[in-house]
Amino acid sequence: MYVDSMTEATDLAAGAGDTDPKVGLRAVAALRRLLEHLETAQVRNAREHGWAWQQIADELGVSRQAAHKKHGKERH
Amino acid sequence: MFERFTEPARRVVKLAVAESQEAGDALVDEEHLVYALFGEPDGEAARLCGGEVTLARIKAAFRTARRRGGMSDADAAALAGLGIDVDEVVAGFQAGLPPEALDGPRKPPGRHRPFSKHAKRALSLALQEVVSRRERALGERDLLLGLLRNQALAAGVLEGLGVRYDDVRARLS
Repeated sequence: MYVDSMTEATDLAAGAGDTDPKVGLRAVAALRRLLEHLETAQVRNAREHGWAWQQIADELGVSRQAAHKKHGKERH
Repeated sequence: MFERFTEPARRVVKLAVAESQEAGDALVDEEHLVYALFGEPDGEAARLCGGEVTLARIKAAFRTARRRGGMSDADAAALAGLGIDVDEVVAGFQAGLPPEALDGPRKPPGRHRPFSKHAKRALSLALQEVVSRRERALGERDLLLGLLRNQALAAGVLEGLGVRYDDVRARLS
């Protein structure tokens, strides 16, 4: 990083550990997909154990409508 | 949307639907599109990737990713950079779930077989490729580019086999 010609944008990058933003963004995208995958599996397991949408929503910290909309139909 | 697809691109989509059906999956996912694209060893996708990328290698990479919560080698490396060991996370989750729970939804073959969210994105990015070149017809090359740009599982798997968006795009111009 060229310290003498630092712009606001490069300042930000430096604050995040002086790495290529692409690396961090890709890691976040991968983490989000992993999270989606695990959430889907856990919700399906809960449904198979007879859990109601309200119970699932409470554990996930979302509204019943949100949980049902996201997981009511199988999609990923 | 499909009216702009070339005949070979339409065939890929149809094949992808058939792949999903055969596998008993509930959705048509990126994985099925990739299998369909690389189904012919001398097809356009295989040619654009330099012939090194075979269907057998692709299928093996997807299988590995499936067992790992849908994370490709590239994804696992990215997360390792954050100190997250994907294998450990997945093993931890699996301990509390029935086997196969992380495999994704299954359903008996039905009439309606929708595209997954990621497959839809890849298709719409393929269309963007055509638009950005000010062309009309969406071909197999665009399906490949759309999948690579989507930065989900297919891009990670293909990247692990040495296929990158920038390289394929450069080969076209």
